[in-house]
Amino acid sequence: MTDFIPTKDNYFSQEASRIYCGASQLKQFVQCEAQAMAQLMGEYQAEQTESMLQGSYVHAWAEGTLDKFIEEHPEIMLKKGGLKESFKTCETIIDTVKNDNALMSIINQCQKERIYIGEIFGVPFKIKVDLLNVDKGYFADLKVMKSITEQSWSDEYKRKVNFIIAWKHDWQMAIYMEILRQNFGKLLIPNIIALSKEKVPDKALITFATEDEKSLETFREITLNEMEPHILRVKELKEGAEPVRCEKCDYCKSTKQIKEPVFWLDL
Amino acid sequence: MANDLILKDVHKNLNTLLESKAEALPKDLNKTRFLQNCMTVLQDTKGIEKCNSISVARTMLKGAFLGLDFLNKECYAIPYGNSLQFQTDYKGEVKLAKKYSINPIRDIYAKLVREGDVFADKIENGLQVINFEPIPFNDGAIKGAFAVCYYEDGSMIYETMSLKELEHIRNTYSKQKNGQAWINSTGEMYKKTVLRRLCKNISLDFDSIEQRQVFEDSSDFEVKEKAKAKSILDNADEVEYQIVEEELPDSLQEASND
Repeated sequence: MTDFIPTKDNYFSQEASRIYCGASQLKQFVQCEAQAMAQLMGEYQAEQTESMLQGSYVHAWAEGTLDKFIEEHPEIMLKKGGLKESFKTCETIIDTVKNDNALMSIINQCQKERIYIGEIFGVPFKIKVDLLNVDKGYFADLKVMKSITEQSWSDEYKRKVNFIIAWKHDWQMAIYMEILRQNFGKLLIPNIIALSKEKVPDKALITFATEDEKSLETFREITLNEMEPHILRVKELKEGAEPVRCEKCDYCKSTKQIKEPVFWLDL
Repeated sequence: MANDLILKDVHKNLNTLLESKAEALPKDLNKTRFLQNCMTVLQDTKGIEKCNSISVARTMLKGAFLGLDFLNKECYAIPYGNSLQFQTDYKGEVKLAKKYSINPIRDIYAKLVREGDVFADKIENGLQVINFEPIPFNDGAIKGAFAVCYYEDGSMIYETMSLKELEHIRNTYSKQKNGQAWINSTGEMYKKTVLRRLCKNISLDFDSIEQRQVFEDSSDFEVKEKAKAKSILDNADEVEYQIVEEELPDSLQEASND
């Protein structure tokens, strides 16, 4: 392990990302190795979308740092004053949570944005847990999305899948569960508090455990198994292996040089 | 290397099991051939080195009980964590129905119905009739599947399932709904699903209890009730609004006073 300890101030720094892998980083590497490496090296910066900023807005509210967030992000305000339309939606989402006793109770009794480190398959990992309650044995992640129930097509699964599979949130939950296990010596139940950006926002508390006592262990084992080759590949890449380009993402498109033609039927 | 060691062990264990369970095996099973085919398949099975050799041998024995051939893809051995799961294939299911049906079967099959295909089921002069006109080489989206069984006595039974029903079964009862079988052979799994449903109406007479047990277990579908989702809310109710460590942010304070 290294001496570098991630904190709130340096969590998203390049140094932290170079030393530690994280759930989002792993997903980036799976999407495109070249883009992920370029980002690590500071050669490329992925655009922060409004959608990501909306998520951060709701997160900041739950953490109790909304005022600071608004101060740091003037782009969410209209020139004439007041929030932009898309961030008014966030306010509606927050109201939806406030009106739900169960969700408020969870938010109130949890520690917020806790950072932990550990190692998975020999690779150092860092995690930032939105909501954590070790005594009660669970943690939860806030997710803001277009729709909770809408399914989207997955090339990998060759069928429509729910948002958790589509965005590999199950990987994130398993990584968090494993790092928290290493820190607290027990398996905590992963939960997702899902909130939709629809006109009338939908909400759901999604769990990864069943009453079957082995369900957590099974989920952890299967998901870690699924991630193993990808985590080991991240290790190789960080140690200097040549990253593979996907030729589809923004980074690959922006750095593409035509070397040979594509046969029309291969498109 | 680890692979070779485990395979050697499996060979030994499976051989012993085949000898000791000889009574429960189908009379026409060629043990030497079966053993050879198993080893060929296992050599190419990724993740086999993580599995325990005795449990691998037990899984392969299930194929022997049913008289199904792994090499011919009538059934599969699929690593799942550190255990090896047994699953029958559509082809294996057809073979079993034909072999063990009490009422002799002339033909039994399942087909996928795709966008644009014509499928109709009706009763003509009191007799069940199905009519299927697929578009040749149709690559369109799957709309559903049907299975039909014609008995030698001229009677027939059939079963249909829409895509929604098939997906519901997959999501609700499958032990590995995102496992290799469902992802790489979705169509075959749909056919197996509808065929299994049809087979419930075919009386099968197995040679041994072991055979019946393995057949029941190998469907990939768990009949038992789905495990209930574990709620953290009961916990939350016990200690309502207890704040851990950090101070309650203003925005939350307001909300909890509501």
